[in-house]
Amino acid sequence: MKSPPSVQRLPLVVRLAASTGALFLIIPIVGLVGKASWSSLLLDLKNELVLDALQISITSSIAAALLAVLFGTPLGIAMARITNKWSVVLRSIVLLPMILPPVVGGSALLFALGRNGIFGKPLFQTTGLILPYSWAGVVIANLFVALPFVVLSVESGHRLLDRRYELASASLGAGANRRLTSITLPLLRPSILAGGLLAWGRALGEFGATITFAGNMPGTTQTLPLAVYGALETDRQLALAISLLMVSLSLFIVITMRQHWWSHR
Amino acid sequence: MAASSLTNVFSDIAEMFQTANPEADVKLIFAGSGSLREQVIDGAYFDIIATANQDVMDALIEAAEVTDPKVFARNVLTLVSPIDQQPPISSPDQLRESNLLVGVCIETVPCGALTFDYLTSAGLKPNIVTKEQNVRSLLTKVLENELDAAFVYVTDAQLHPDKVISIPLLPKHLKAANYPIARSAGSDTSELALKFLEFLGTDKVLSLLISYGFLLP
Repeated sequence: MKSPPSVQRLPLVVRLAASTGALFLIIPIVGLVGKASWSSLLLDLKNELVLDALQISITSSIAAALLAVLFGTPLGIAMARITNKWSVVLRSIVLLPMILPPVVGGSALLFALGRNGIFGKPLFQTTGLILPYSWAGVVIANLFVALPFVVLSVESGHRLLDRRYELASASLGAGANRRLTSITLPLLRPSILAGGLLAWGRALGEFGATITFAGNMPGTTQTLPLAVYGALETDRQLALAISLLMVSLSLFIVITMRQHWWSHR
Repeated sequence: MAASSLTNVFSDIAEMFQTANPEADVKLIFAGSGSLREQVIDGAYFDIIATANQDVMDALIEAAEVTDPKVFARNVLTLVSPIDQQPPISSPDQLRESNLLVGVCIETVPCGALTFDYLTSAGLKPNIVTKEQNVRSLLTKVLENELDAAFVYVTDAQLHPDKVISIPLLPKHLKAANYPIARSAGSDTSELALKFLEFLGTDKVLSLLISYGFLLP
């Protein structure tokens, strides 16, 4: 294996800009770690509000990530294969939640799926089901912002696939289903995993869409980011403690992602 | 800096003040009272601060951030419900029916503290589905018909007479919110700040406050 070119060979201006960029990302984390009172950290975290929020955050973000993989993978594969004029429209709509302010996404969900929304109203009238203010509502808000990450990852992964494997298996008589399960999906595994982890991370940090669509109810819909927002106004130490918890969770996801993703490149 | 529940009235007052004092350039920052306190303690620059509760102001006085606090307005809670709510809510006692979706402000912000005071005093245990961080986001959910009822300030209810109905609460269980205002202890434009505080006491401003539904101290 060839060793990568050394950093010292880079022009000075590139190295300076790179350091500034890295510092910009590191400084806020240092601020967070520096301000925390470590002695009371565990005590702060061992309160009911935090434990409830942690449980809701973990379960809802994992549910959202799994749903994102379940629906995002087929969508990503389909998008990689659609070549007609509609592909641009479809791609724009699918990627929209990534750049849309989450609060706007939450409002959109409320207008569509709220008790009085276009789809939510008939749902409520026929089944009595109300999606906002529920755990399911948190999952929906998470899914809305997380799904594009899986779609994007799978789609770009699919474009890089060597089509000859599929053509070869087709020539050997494998049907569409067989080709999908024994060739396409295994080859896409790294992209699906990376997309799923990104989706999980994004869902875990979701704030705007959740508070707008699912509300803020400790024990039911209050996730960790919502708890941080509330605690910032009342108890700085608690806010810091929850923030550090979120940093650790996010780090865990990033490290897992590195192991799964980078090792395949 | 002013509490979010002062958004509309302070925007009007600032405009009136600027018309009367063309040299003044009033910049308004609105946030929940607790958030204002944290911003000030973290060193945010301001000349005048108005909060929606005395506790927040007391904390700022203690931190020597402000001087000359004075209550300039008061506000009370009311129950609001979407105008086309079926069946309509006519008394807070109806909140005992557990199928109504009720929203409140969270206990840690002034309107939430007042709400929970009221609920305890009146012995009400409504079906609370969300505890919002501020009155405005709570009101939005009522306007969208996503809540059957919510506890908000009279002044907020009054902003949307065509969309929500206001159901009076029982005065004997109801406490008023005091709005204190104070100058920054370190402000260097204190002459204009004093002028603004004086302006708050003029008849024009007082009648504006009343028209928005505030009570005078």
